[in-house]
Amino acid sequence: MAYNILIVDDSQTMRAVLTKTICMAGLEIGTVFEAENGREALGVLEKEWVDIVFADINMPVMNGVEMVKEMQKLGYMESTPVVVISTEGSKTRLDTLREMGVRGFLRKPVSPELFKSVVDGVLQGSADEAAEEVAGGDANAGAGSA
Amino acid sequence: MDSAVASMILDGVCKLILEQLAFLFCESQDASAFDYNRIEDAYEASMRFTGPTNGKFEIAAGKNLCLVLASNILGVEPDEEAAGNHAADALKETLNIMCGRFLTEAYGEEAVFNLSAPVIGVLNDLAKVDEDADAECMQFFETEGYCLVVKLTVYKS
Repeated sequence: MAYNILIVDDSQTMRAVLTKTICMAGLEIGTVFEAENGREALGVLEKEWVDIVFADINMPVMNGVEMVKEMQKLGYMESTPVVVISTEGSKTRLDTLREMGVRGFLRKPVSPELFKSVVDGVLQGSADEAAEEVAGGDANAGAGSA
Repeated sequence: MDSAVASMILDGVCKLILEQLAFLFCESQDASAFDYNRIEDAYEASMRFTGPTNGKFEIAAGKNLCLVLASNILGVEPDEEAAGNHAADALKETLNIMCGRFLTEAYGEEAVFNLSAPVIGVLNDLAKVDEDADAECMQFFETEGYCLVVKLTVYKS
């Protein structure tokens, strides 16, 4: 399966590095969308199907925390896993983001090995959830038709 | 925070980030002997932080070092167009990562800080003492024959 990816970071250098890291991690890529801040990212999510979002926190216009809050309001957090990649080291803030539905955290600078390990875990978790939903849906359908 | 402690943490963080991010190994330089003229044609970046303590981080490096930074981060040659296009941004991002790492090292994982986005601009004279500052520390580094200065200012609360 090829994944559509959205990279949200105000640094063009980090967006370029992350694209390279994703390729090095062996992730099969469909389309890579880029956004310079949370506001732009929400615009992309409105128009395009995105399988996973990699987002920085510290950005102008709309930061990563505000973006996740908006994604939560708009219902994106259930269908689109978000991995935060930032300089953030505050456990308090990361716990808050985890409670808001963020699936993974990586601290800059990111090593390709750690990136692969976290992203594999997040995507596997999403695949398991999707499988559970399908199984749950089938069970309900079965119960309904019985 | 005591300036000596802040300087020690800052020194370690700067070296670690330059090594991890851009594979640059730095030597600390003696502040009293540092020649600012060695930073020619410089890019300068700054960012502020607010939280349990307020302050700002500043960085200055010559354009040649910024090219090396960008090329090492991106994995391209310094004379490639991409390195030139990313040179200023690479310096900003380096500062951003140093700032985030320093605040966690200095104030712990429970402290929550808000960071401004780093901006490129002409800095005030880095050697000038800020009267509003509670503590200031400056670290000087040399890497690949180029110089780099990082300054931390912590304001009185």
